[in-house]
Amino acid sequence: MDENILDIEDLVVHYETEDEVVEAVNNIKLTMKKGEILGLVGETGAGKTTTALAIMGLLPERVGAIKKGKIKFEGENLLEKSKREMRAVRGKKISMIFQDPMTALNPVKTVGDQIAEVILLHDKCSKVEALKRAQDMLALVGIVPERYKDYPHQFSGGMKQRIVIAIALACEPDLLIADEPTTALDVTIQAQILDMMRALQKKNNTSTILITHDLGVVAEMCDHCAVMYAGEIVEYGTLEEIFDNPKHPYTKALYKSIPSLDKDVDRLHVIPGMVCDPSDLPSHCSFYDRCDEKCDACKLHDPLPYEIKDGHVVKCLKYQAREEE
Amino acid sequence: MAKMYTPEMEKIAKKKARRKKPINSTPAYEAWKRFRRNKTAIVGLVMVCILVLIALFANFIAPYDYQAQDYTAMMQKPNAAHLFGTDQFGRDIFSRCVYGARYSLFIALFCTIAALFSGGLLGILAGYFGGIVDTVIMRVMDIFQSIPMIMMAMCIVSVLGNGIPQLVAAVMFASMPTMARNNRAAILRVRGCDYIESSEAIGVSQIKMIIKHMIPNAAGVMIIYFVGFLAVSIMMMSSMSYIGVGLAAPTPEWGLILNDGKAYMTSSPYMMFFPALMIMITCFAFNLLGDGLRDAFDPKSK
Amino acid sequence: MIKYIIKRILYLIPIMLGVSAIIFILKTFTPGDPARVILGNDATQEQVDAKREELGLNDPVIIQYGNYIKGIVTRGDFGDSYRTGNPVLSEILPRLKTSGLITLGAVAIGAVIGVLLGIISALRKYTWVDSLVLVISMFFQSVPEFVVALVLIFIFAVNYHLLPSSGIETASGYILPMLCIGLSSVASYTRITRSSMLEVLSEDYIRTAKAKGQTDSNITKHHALRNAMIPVAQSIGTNLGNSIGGAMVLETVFGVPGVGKYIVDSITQRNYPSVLGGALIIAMVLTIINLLVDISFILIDPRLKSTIIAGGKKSKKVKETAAKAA
Repeated sequence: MDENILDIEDLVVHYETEDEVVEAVNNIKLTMKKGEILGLVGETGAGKTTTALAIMGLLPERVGAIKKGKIKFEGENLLEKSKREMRAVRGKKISMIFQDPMTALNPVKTVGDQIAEVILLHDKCSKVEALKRAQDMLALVGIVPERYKDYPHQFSGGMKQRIVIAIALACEPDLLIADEPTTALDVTIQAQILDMMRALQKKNNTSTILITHDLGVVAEMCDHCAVMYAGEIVEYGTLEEIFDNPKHPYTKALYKSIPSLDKDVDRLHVIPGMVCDPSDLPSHCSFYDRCDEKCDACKLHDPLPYEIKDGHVVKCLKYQAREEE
Repeated sequence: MAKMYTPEMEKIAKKKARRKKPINSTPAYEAWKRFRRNKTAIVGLVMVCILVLIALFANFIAPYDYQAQDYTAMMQKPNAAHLFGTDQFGRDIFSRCVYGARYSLFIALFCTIAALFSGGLLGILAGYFGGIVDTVIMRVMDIFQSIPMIMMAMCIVSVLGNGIPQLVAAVMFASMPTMARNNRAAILRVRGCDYIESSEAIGVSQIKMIIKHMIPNAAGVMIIYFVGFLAVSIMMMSSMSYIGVGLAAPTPEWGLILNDGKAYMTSSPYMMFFPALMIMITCFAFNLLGDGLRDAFDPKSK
Repeated sequence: MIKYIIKRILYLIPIMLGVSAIIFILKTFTPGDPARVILGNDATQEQVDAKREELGLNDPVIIQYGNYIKGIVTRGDFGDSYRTGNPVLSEILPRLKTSGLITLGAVAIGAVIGVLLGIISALRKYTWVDSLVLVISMFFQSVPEFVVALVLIFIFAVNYHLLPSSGIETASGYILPMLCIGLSSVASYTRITRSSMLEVLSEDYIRTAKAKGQTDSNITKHHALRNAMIPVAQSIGTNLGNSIGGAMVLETVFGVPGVGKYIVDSITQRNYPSVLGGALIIAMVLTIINLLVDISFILIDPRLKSTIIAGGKKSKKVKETAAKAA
């Protein structure tokens, strides 16, 4: 168990407002080994970001509530840590890159100050030294170090994301959570940023959770992949398993909806129906309404995650039943 | 096993069960729902309603005529016959305060309506047409705004003389720039929305657009300003009356009653206490109500 | 930058012209004969007529207005007070210091209390502290300044004899007027600070700071405050206008010889040259202070600097292309 950097057990996160309870994350289990890159895939609202925020301890105050479960980071349950202890973890041990670089930086502080801030917080050093290291970080992410005196608005979106990455990596964290780091960027910039992230990941061997809805990005970057749907991990396995041998109807449907370069199709495949209302989840399989392969039993049970092969987990009654026969 | 039931969810399920029939949710209904939940706003609404009732039924509530002088009962401290005491002419201060509600509220209402029709209209025009119309209107408003509101109002009263219509005109002119600015901002906010652009794209006529789309959507904000301005005009009116520009005696306007009591501040402070209290309560009520409306119509602002 | 400032100062000219025109129009509609006001009721009709001729009152309004503006531009002459016959400017200038002091003190009191309350209420949002702060600040917003003044006079001057109820013979005479005007603007600062703090605190960069492991107090101090102060600073301009208006009433209530009382007295006496001069000077002060406030944003918000500079450059470019096209 020692080599597991992250162990999420039965995590349940709800958002509670006066009018409704949104079941954002439902009973997920996830383990990550050191140095691994895990892709977390799913459509908007599947609970990817919520999972990430729960790990960071940054769920929205008053609304987000962890109802159940453990998040073990290097063997310690983060949920039992005090606020002060969590602050020492954030930025130092676990860092996060946010989705929109345009708003993630403070407009009235220089980028150098913003990078130096995290260094000063966690590593005991002088302000001068921190600024020096901030400049090194800028160089590392491919920005001229002399620009440390500039303000965020003087950088383009891609450059800002590089700065955000520099902030996240400044203290050489053990775990990096990248929440759709390229979604807000142009396609060409996306490739650059991903290349850079991969290079930096190799260099420091940082364990990374890459949240995305782009299967292409996952194929390019990750070792393992977890597919989320309606707050649950419906399929988990190595990249090869998930890509070559997808089992869950949702995963299969996702692949079908990727446009192919070789085949000429008139219309892309569409998964029929809508994601079920997260404030009113059914007690049976949440993918039931949209599933191609459903049967009557699906409406009666909510399947348990089932390991069909070593390390390949599927949450579908079909496979569970087959194995049990 | 994915679904996990929590006490919070049960609470909401119960709440939903209690709500018998589903109601068509309109923006106004949503606003009312938010408003109803806001305790301070409800307090404000109740206070405003009471004040309006006092104003409407002043002649039934007030035990005396507001200008009846009774030289046998001058400068009396509050007692059973005269709840708020009497002034130097033996006039019943309670009756004067009650009639004051009628004068103050209705003048304030007229002032606000006038302001909404002058400044508000200018703001709507500026916001809707934009371009040169906007520039001209707003530059003129800039000039007006360089003169403090109360000074403008006092100047106008000094030209037109004391009296209620004159006062309304004064407050209207003085508040024009603020009103124009606020309404313009409200219209601009709506104007920037996609649905306006799309209705423009499908060729909805201008007049129809203003009436059907812009005003209803900006209405929430305008109602907020309307209520807020009632308080502002009461304050302005009483300030002016107090320093002697505005209404003339013996109108039982609260500022004027205060002015009457000024000379007796040391000996009979109650003469000033009650009218001051009335002003405070009224403005407070309107501000509470306005604030509640703001939260109700514009939930993001909270 | 300098270009921007010059542009803004030039903008003063139409404002001044407009303000003087408005007051001039009001003046012409005022009932009563200014010559009669100056000479008093005992003067003969001939004397009055002569005075009218001397003052140029028989000229068309537009000529009178032109002469007035000419006087200001060429001689710095704002006209003479009808009442005393002294130049208006020499009557106003010494009073400007008193009024300025009171207004500045009031703005300082209002802004400091208001911003502090706003921050507290934003950080403790939806708790009883938040509600209490909002209700208190709204209460002060609901009470006209002169009523606050009366209450304070009653407490401090009448009952306890701690502070003078009127006049500024001693420095303590400034306290009550400042406090009254200041308190009435607290609500507006509180509200703006609260909502802008709440907005800033929900920004992504605050989340970034949290993800860095920064403490809440440092996030407030280093990240939120400066961003949240931008709209607050912007509101100082508008509040100042209100405070000057408030000062007019309160100087009258407290008998403080400032510009406000001067103007109120002049209005009641229909002493129009004084009203005109006072209005122009107040408008000028307001515009200049608004300019200073705008310039100070550039120091707070680095984004503005480049937009202003870029704006300047762009307009130049546009002009150049336009010239070429022509």
